Amino acid sequence: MKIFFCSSQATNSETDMFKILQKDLLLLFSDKRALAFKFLLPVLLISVFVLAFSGMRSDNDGPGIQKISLPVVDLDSSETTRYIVRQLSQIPSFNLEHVDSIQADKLVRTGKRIGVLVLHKGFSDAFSAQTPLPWELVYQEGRDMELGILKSILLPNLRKLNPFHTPDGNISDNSPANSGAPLDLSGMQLTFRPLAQEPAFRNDPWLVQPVVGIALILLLFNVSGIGGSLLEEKETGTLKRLLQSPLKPAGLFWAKMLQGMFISFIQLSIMFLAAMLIFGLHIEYNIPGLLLIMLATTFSFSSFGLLLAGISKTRGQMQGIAIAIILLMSALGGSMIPIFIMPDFMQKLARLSVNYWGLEAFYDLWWRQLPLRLILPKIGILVSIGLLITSVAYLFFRRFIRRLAS
Amino acid sequence: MLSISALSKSYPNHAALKQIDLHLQEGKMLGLLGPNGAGKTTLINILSGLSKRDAGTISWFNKEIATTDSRYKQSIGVVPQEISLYQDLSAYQNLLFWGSLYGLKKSVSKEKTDRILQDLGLYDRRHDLVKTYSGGMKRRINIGAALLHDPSLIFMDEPTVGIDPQSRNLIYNYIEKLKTSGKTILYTTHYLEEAENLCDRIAILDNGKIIVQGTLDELRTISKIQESVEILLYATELPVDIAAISAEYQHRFSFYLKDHALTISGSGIAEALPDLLSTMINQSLKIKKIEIKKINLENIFLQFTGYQLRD
Repeated sequence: MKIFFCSSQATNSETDMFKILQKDLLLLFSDKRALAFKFLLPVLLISVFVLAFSGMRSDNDGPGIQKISLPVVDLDSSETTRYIVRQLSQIPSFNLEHVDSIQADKLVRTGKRIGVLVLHKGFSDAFSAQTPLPWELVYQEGRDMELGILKSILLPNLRKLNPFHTPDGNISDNSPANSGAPLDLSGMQLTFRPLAQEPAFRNDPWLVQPVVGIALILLLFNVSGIGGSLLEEKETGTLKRLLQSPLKPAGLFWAKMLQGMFISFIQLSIMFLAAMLIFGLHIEYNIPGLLLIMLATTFSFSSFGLLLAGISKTRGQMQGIAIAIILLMSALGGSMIPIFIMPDFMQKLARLSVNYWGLEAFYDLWWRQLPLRLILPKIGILVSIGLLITSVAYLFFRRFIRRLAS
Repeated sequence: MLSISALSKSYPNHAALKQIDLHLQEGKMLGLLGPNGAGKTTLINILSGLSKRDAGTISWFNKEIATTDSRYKQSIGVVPQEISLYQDLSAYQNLLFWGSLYGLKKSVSKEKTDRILQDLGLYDRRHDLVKTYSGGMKRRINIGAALLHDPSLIFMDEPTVGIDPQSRNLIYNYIEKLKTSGKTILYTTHYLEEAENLCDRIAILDNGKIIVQGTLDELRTISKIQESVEILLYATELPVDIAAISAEYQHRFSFYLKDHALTISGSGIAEALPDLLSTMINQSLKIKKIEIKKINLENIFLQFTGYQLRD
C-alpha cells in the first residue's frame, strides 16, 4: 500500500490543529477559578506532603522538626532523678512534661501521648547500688511505629547522659577530675511496658489507618457528587422546575443533605463491613459509638458537598475545586499520611481538616477503645464543623438560588 | 382570575419588563407573543414564584398575592421552555415524582399519570427512559409533568419549540382539551399561527412592554389593518427605493421589504395597487408574484412593532 502525503492538506491539518488548540486554551482560560485550582493544586499538594514528611527527615533541625511530647512521672523525686530529667529535657527532639501518675495514664490511654517515662521510687538507691534501675516507658499498645521513633531518639540520648557518681552516692554534672568515677551505663537499661488494656480485641492502628483514611477520602468524593447533582439539576433545568413547585428552597437544601448523609452512611457501612470480613477489623466494639461517629462524620462531610455546590458555577468547575480540596484536606488531615509522623506545626494545622477529626474519632473508637464519654468531644467537634459548614453552605445555596432566578 | 398591574423587572444591564399590565380571564387562553428576549420567560418566572419583581402587583381572584405562596403554587402548573425532566428516569417515574411534589396520593398520582400518558400518546412507552425519547416526545412529557396536580392556571413557555409536526399537533389537541376543561392558560410563543389558532386573547410583548392586547378581532380593529399584499420581485442589482414607492401612501400603509419581498399592509390597498405597481415598474423592478394576504397576526405584529416576528 502506498501512502501519499499531500503537503497542502498537511498544512490545513496543522492550521486546524492550532485552531483547535487555540479554542481549547480559550475555554480553559475562560474559567479563572478552575484554572487557578488546576495550577495551584500541585504546588499546594507538594508543599503539604513535603511539610508532612519533614518530621521524618534526619537532617531536619529547622522549624519542621518533629518534637515528641514525653510525659515524665518522677515518683522517686531524688537528686538523681531530677538530674536525669534535667538531662533529658536538653534533648532538642523532646518536649518533656512533668505529670502525675493519673495524668500520665490518661494521656497515654486517650492516645494523646505515645508513652510516659516513669521513674519509680527507689531509683536513686538502685542507681547508687548499681542494681537494675526501676524505670520504665509505659506505652500505648499498637503504636509500634511511633514507639520506634521515640526509642530511636530516646535510647541514644540515654547513653549520652554520662552521669558521674559522687562519693556520697549521688551523681554529679562535674567532670571526672572533680568527682568520682564514671557510672556503668549497663545498669540504666530502660524497661518498655505496654499499658494494660481491658478489651480482648484490639485493632492494629496499621489497619485502622488505611481503612478509615481511605474511607474518609472516598466519602469526600461521594459528597462532592451530591454537590454535583445540585449543579446537574441547575444545568438540566429541573432545579428551576423544583423551585416553581410548592417545595421550599430550604426543603431542597435539606433533601440534598439527607441524600449525602444516607449514601455516605451506606458507603461507610459497606467499607467497614468489608474491612471486618476481609482484614479482620473489629467493628463490633461499641456499636452505639460507631453509629454516632458515622452520623457525625456523614453530616460534616455532606455539608462540605453542599458547600462545594454553592461556591461552584458549573459541574466542571466543581470537579476541579473538589479534587483540590479533597486531596489537600486528606493529606493534611491524616488520611494519606499518618498524623504522628508529621511535625508539630503540621499536626496543629491538621486540626483544620475535617478528615483529622473523623480519623481521630475512629481511632478513639477502634484503636484506643475509649468509652463513648471520652469520644463525645470529638463527635461534638465533627457536628460543630458540620453545623458551621452547613450554615456557610446554606448562605451560598441561597445566593445560588437567587442567581438562578435572575 | 389573575391580574398583573404595573409589573416591572430590571437586571443590571437592562430592563426586562416595563410596567406590564395583563389580565387573565378564568377559563381563557391568553397568548403572549413576542420575539426572543422580549421578556416572556421573565414574566413567567415572576408569575411562577421563581423570580422576584421589582415593582407592580399580582392579584389572584382580586386579592393581591405573593407568588411564593404555597397555596398559589399548588394552583399553578408551569411548562418550562427547556426540557426539565430527569433523563435517567422513565416518563412514568418522572410524572409520579413531579406529582408527588404537589402532595398527590400515590394511587391518585398513578391514575392521573396513566391518563396523561394516554392523552399525550406515550402510554406504550411509559417505562422507557426519557433520554431515549425523541425531542417531540420529551416536549410532551414536559407538558404532562406540569399538569399532574390538575392546576387551574397553566403557564406554558414556548412548549412547541423545535418539534416535529406530529408532536406539535398532539400538543395542540391536548391544549384544546385543556381549554375545554376550563383551564386558564398563559401561553408564550413566537409562532404567530399558534397564538392565532389557539388563543382567545393575544398580548404582544416587545422590548419588555405590552404593545397591545385583545382578541384577534380587537387587534385587527386597533391596528386598522384591512388587508395586506406581498409583492415578490425578481432578484435585481438595482436598489429598491421604498421611499419613492411609498411616497404617496406612507400615511395609509406600512411598507416592509425583506430580501425581494415587499409587504404592504393597510386599508384600501386594492385601490392603490395599480398606482403602486406602476411606480415599481418605473423603477425597473420586475414583479414575479403578487399575493393578497388575509389579515393575520403577522400583519398585526408588523403593524405594532415595525418588524416581523420571524426576524
